[in-house]
Amino acid sequence: MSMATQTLRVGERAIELTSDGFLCNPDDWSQEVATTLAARNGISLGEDHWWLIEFVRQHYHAYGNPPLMRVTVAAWRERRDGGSSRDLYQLFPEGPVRQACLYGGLPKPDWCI
Amino acid sequence: MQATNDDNSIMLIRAEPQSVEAENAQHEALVALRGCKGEVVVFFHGAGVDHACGAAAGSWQRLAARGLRLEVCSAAWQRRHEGEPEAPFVLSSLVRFWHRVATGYRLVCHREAGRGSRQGATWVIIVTAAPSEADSREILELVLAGASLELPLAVIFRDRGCGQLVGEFARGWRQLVDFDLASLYYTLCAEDFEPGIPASPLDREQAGHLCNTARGVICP
Repeated sequence: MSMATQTLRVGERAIELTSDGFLCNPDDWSQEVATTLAARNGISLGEDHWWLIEFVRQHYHAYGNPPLMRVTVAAWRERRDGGSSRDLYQLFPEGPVRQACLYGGLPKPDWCI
Repeated sequence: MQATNDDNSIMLIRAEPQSVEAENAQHEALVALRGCKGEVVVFFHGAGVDHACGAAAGSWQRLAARGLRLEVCSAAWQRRHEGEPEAPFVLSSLVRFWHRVATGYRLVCHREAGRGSRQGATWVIIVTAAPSEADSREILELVLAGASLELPLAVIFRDRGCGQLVGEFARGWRQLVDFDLASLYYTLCAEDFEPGIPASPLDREQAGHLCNTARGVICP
């Protein structure tokens, strides 16, 4: 578990966050937590946001790391029958995979890819 | 005449300081520096990032004064150290390493004789590290970084590296197959070896041919 430096209030629960805003304990994640985390950054999670969060979560749990951007874009194109990385950056402008990890309750990606 | 990327060289070092491999690598870097018209870059990854601090840094700093550029994988560094590496080491990334390789930097490999033809299309990465080795996960990151640039990659698991293809260790490597990011091969050893993920067996001759016709061979 990472060192907590912030607390997120979700209903009656106090969720501990790292200095970067990631969950200290992945087991604290829920859709309500994701919604609250995103709202702090002015993002209202819609259907496409949830697809991306779920895609990244599934990839992480299957392979032990978040997906490459090229993998994410390929899956997005398959879902939308087209599209590009720009669509994903419109959903999460600070990095689609990184922000999907953030709101998906996954650890902050610590690689330089 | 201005140097082009073809005149430049790059070397990957993952061996920890004071190891025989690290000494060999430093010797190769010196040879490259003497024989290269362009830039010579040494990229430190895995346990190799420890060269960028403490007593190990001194000999590299002396080579840097003669023109060697020293780059350190930022993720591998941050896993092991706080702050910045000692000057003139600079933080860089695996993607930048691959970008240099893909744009024509000559790969200097201190571990293998087969260095590729530079004419082929595929990059070969030879994995010999057992999954139990401390930084073996970082080898997967090295491959994924190349895949992120959509480079054609072939990974050959050899000797103890074949253990990466079995059981829980294979989980991360499987994404290379599932998303068509790289071709996986293994050379072995025990006749009854069964990889846990799709990978093709190669005999010694086939593996040699793959390396000899590759654009370059990396032995992390």
